[in-house]
Amino acid sequence: MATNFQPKSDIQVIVGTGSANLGSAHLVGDTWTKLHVTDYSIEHASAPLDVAPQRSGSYGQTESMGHHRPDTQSYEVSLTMRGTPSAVLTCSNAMWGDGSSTLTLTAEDSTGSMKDGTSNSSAVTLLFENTGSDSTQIDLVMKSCFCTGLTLKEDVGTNGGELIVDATFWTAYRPEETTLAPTGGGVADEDNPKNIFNLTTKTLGGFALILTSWELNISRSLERVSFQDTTDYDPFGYVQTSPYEVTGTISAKRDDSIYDLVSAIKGDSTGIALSLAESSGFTLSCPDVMIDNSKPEVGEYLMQSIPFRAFGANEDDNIVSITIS
Amino acid sequence: MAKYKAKSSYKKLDDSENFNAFSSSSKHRKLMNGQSVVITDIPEGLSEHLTKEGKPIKSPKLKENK
Repeated sequence: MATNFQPKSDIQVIVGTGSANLGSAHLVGDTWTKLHVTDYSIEHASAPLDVAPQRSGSYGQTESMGHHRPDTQSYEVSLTMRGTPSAVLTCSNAMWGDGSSTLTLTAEDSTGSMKDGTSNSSAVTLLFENTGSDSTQIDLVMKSCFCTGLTLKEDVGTNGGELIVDATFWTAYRPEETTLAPTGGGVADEDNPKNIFNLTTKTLGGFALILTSWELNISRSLERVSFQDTTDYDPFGYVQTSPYEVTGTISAKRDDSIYDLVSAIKGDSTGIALSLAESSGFTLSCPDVMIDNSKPEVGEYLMQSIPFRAFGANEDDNIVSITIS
Repeated sequence: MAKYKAKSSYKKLDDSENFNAFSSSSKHRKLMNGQSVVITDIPEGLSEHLTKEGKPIKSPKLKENK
């Protein structure tokens, strides 16, 4: 009878960054950062099951009909982090290959060649310490992970207004239960999170809004390329199968500024600028957003929910830029 | 904030010295293509390989709320 177990309170999430070949985990001497991860999901090496069609006249399924399909498998975990500069920079690099402020996303950006055995500086290794189900292989390692979803959000009513970073990491390589001890145990992220109460600029279309919350979502999809062998079922690489889509929502007090945005809300197919900034150290700018079906919200006082989609004016123009330090 | 382009010396840097080493393969590719990139703080050791382009980017002026 096995007696080991994994207390959640013992689990640390550490992110390995820097150049590494796709298909290889970062080395213990690489850069490992303990971001302020507050919630997470984990994965386990697994495979979906295909079932072959049934012989006519048979009323049961026989073993020969079951086929595991590790060749189609991919793994996805989500991390929720306090919104420090390190958290944002790590995720933006894994999302669109830019981890050095000012972060700019244009239609020309990507995480580059994602080919097995080829060096890539945007893929991260996720180390879930003390998560292994085995009593000696106590860690869970997910290598060659890229971001497929990134949400930045602030709300006056959540976590004291702190910036929250929700990131979805994706890999087509099997998670491995092993022991991995970064040199020095990894570097703790000592940065302070950004905060909605520190925003000094909150404008849409040039009009100042009174915000209670905002969020920005960036997403893309990745797919694995086939499989190299029937031992590990490692892919030949990844391909990006969708453009980056940047959407978001602002919740603002319903006032004169909302009225002034009338043409953008009614719909004129013209982009307007969204700008959120602290006095220093944080600026989020979407120069060209279009409002997508904005509606009033009825509470003790009226608010306006303003969903939007961000575009680049041209291929090389920013869809979003973030300055953070 | 300012925009920078790569000097010819940047293109000779090893991956351990260029923007790939500073977690920004995207900036690296743009610089190698002759494009400009917006940089807040130039990473150590790269300033001599980059040249500033034009005027600094100004923040948009805000309209007064009614």
